[in-house]
Amino acid sequence: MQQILALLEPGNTAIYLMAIVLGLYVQYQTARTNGRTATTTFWDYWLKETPGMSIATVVVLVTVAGGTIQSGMLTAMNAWAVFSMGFLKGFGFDALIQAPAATESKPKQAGFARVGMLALLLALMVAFSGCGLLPKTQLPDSKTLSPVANASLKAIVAARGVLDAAYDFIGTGVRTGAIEPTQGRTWFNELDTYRDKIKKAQELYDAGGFDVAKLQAEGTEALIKFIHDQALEALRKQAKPAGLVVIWQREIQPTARRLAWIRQPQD
Amino acid sequence: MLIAIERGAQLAVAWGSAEKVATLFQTLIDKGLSLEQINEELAAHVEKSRNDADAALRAKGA
Repeated sequence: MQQILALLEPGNTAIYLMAIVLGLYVQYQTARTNGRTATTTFWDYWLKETPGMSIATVVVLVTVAGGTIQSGMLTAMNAWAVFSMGFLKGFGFDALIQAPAATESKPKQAGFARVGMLALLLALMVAFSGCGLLPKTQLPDSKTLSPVANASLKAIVAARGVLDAAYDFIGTGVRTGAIEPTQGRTWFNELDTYRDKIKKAQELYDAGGFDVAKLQAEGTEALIKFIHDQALEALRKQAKPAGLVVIWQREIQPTARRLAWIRQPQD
Repeated sequence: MLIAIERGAQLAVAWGSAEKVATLFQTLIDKGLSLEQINEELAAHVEKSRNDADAALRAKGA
């Protein structure tokens, strides 16, 4: 109980959770305004109209929010970014699962009935992971390590993989002219701090602190993904048409052939 | 159309990097390396990618 209350203390986690609730409430008001729900209270909308879908929404939000909070990425974000992310998840997931609401001509559906909608949600959740599309599940298990040590080492390997991709991303972006060098150096220096964190995770692992090493590696991996997503967004804003054709020819065509293999869910 | 190409380009750079690392993962797995050996190989490759990125930045004066 104390841990639950601690989540609501002032800070990014509290902002994140409250933003999700606000997103849900605004979605309810939007549904009312657009005639997608016949309920007159927020509680009726959640508890009486389509309770199965409400359960589906809660399950998705708890899963997504839990993963986000545990990753530690919130601590590296400013308050507005945290609020936006929480609000859009509450608003968006509720819209995807619960809308449109039942009408006279369209009978109510139970939660989880819309397979297509849930497939879209899954695709969104995979897309949210940014560059973390590496095949961690395919890594072989060690024949000599304990299960705890094995999981810890896999986390370190996964973090190294994402760091490798991020360094490569900076190098490729700078060489093709897609990333401005000064900005690239800023990201490079930040990646160096995460490189040090992975080294620390390796030291913890070597010293037998498998659980701590795993947490350190997983947290660092999440932070690298975050800076990678920031870099992507900045790249979108500063992309130059002249360079795009070159990137298209050099990167998209050969890459497209392998995307089906790369885009596999992580465990 | 330009927006679509721009969107494709930014994803392509990211996917291109992810693809290279995914290919590296698969190559190491196909070689039959253990998890410990993959970790060591990947650590070395991270340093190579870092040095390449550093060289690209220095070449551009950053």
